[in-house]
Amino acid sequence: MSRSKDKRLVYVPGDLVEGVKEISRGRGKSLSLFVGEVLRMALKANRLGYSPREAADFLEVMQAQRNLGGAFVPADVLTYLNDKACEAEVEQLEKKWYESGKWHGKYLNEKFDDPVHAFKKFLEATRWDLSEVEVRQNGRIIKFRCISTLLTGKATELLAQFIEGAMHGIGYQTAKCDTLKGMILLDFEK
Amino acid sequence: MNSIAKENDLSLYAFVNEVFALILRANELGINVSTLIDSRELLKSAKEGGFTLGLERLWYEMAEIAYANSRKKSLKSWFDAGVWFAKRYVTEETDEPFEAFSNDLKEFTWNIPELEVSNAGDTVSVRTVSPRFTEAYTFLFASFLEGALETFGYKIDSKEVSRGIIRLEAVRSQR
Repeated sequence: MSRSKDKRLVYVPGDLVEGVKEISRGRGKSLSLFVGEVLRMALKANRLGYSPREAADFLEVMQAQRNLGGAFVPADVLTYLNDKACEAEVEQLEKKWYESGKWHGKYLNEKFDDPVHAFKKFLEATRWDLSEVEVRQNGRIIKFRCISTLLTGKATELLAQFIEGAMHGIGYQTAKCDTLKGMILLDFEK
Repeated sequence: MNSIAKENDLSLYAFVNEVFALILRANELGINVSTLIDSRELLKSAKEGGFTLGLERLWYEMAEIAYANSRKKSLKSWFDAGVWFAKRYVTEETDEPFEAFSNDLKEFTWNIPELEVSNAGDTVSVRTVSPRFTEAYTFLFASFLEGALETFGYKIDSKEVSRGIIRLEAVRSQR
């Protein structure tokens, strides 16, 4: 008796239930057991700071990152690589960041309905040296604003190259580019 | 759950619907939703461990340039990064700091197909195999591992490094 009192009825659209039912069946679980597990996971994700919609975005971005060949590198080493390699090869290095961004952008364009939004999510999820990532659409123009108190001047320029490459890969052209140490302001148009 | 729905400006109905939509999306991507929790926790610990996430190929290319320009300084930079990474575990109050280090190392190197760290008595051996590693990156990563092992009080006893393959044997140094 007490068990049934602990249960609640929530209306869910039939197509969602059918989809979830199919997944639970595929995993050899009853629908109620599976839904209970899933909701418990949603509560855990919420404790980690994600609403279900943000969690879905994050999940896709992380999966894309793995598919693209994401790798961790010590942050100090990256700072060193940016500076050391730049000493002799500024243009070569900028080209590599640009090309890498372009490749990334092309992938996002193929994979996501809204590749610009996915790219913003990617920057937010992986570039924790950025304290702010803002993307605004103003008519035909898309404005990027990235702020960081940690990036060196060279690292800022290289990241700007990466963003430009990604946006070009998605199909935009640069309308305006302004970088300062720790600040990237970029405008793009189709 | 009601209160969480409210926190997110959603009705309980809308919240449950979004959770269900998330499950379907995850299934389309071929991922279990628990991966989401794991990924989030991995990113959090990588951030705390002083790592940055980016594209593997770009890291390799940058490493190539830096290594060609200044081999000695590049090796030292990676060695120091290994020291810094290991120092966290050495100074942390955990029962098994080396095991914690080894577990995190494996998590952060998801791009390396084979990474084995074994610890028996006073000796430690590390073996990595990654066909994608460039020659420069292999030497730099080996230097990172050396820095970490030395911080744990081990001295490198034998070392074999060639493109894509690292084999290190280390023994606890006499204090």
